[in-house]
Amino acid sequence: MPLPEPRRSQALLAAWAVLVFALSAVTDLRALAVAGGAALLLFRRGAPRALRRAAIAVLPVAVGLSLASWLWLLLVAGAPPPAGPFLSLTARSAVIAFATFSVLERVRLLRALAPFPTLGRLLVLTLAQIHALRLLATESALGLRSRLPRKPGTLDVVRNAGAVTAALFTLSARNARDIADAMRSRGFR
Amino acid sequence: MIYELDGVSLETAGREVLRGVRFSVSAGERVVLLGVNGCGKTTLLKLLDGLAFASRGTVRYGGRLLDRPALDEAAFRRRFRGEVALLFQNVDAMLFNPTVADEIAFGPRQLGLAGVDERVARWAEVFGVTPFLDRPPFELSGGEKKRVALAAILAIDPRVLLLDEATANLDPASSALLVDVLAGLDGVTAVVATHNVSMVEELGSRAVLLAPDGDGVLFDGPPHELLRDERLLVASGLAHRHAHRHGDRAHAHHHLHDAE
Repeated sequence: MPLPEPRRSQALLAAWAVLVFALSAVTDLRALAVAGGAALLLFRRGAPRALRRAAIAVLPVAVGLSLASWLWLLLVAGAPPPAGPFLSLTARSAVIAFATFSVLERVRLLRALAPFPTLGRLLVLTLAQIHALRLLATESALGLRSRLPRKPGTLDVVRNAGAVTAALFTLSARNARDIADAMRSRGFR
Repeated sequence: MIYELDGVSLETAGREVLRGVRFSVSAGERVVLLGVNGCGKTTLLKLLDGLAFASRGTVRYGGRLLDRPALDEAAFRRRFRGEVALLFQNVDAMLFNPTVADEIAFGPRQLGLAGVDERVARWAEVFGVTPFLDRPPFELSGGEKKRVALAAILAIDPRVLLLDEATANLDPASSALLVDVLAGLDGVTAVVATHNVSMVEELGSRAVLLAPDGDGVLFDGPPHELLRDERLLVASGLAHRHAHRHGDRAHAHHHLHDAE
């Protein structure tokens, strides 16, 4: 019999935490491949979307860092270092990211955190900030598009990114101050 | 007397936002705080809510000095937070709970008030947000967020309401609802900051006009007297002269301007 909410989401989150902890200790490539296969099988519903998100969010950083470290060791030691550790680091990141995105699709985070009001509030603040910042980034991109006589190129986006980033930080800082004031005003101490 | 402000000045980041502001608010009064953008309306409301403190001069609440030591005193702080509610101009800052229901319940729970569920149901109904009770507030539209924030501050049954740009982001029907709700709150003192000049007479029985640079109070009296004083409205930046058309006749004269 399936567990009712929020127990189901809480159980899934607990299982995810155990899985991530266990995976973080795995270095053997074959074991990681088996874990990846099992994760794919377990989370086959919505797998293409989770794989795409993992590929966009984690792989560039993991591959980039691994490559940079490998090149650095090559320069320092004068001989190519073994690729195994770097491959397992990248594979581990990919499996953890895939499992995380798959679990996030399946849990109702806010419901799961309902018994922990402070954690719930923290999550809401984080989600609200992400929501506000994404809105600003999207609006900025639209603003750029509407003010250019041509389709914005990479150079235009890069030139504009500095100002948008500054606006994002300013907005975050102002929001944080306002939220603290609002919480005090409503009796939170 | 609920509030007494005497020669209040406030400096932030090396800039004097308010200078020599002097006025008082009696119990049950409805005061509309007017002024152009940047004149210090929001800062003044934060002073009245004990979130900012005067650099010079004094703010008194119910005869008691409203300063840091007063708000550090647990008994006074609890009483003050239970009596005074502020609607922020940036309502996003007020919405930090997982659901609309939790948002409305936040104040009553913090203050340990009885009948939290009944308060949530009542104020959600009044502001038409009952269908959203289980949704996260940050997913709502601007107007819906404003209605949730209003329900949230009213859920503590405050004695004093401080509303910063209460009608901004609200459609005409929701603005009218707010006016009706305010009218129905017997005995509640309200200080409403706005630059929506066309709603002044509906929002309060007394207008306090701040100078454009925060340099004191330019007018304090009945709204209809202020609205008749064209010279003052122009000097304060609330009316402008500009050209426009009446049918096929173009001419220029002064106009009141709402921000929205």
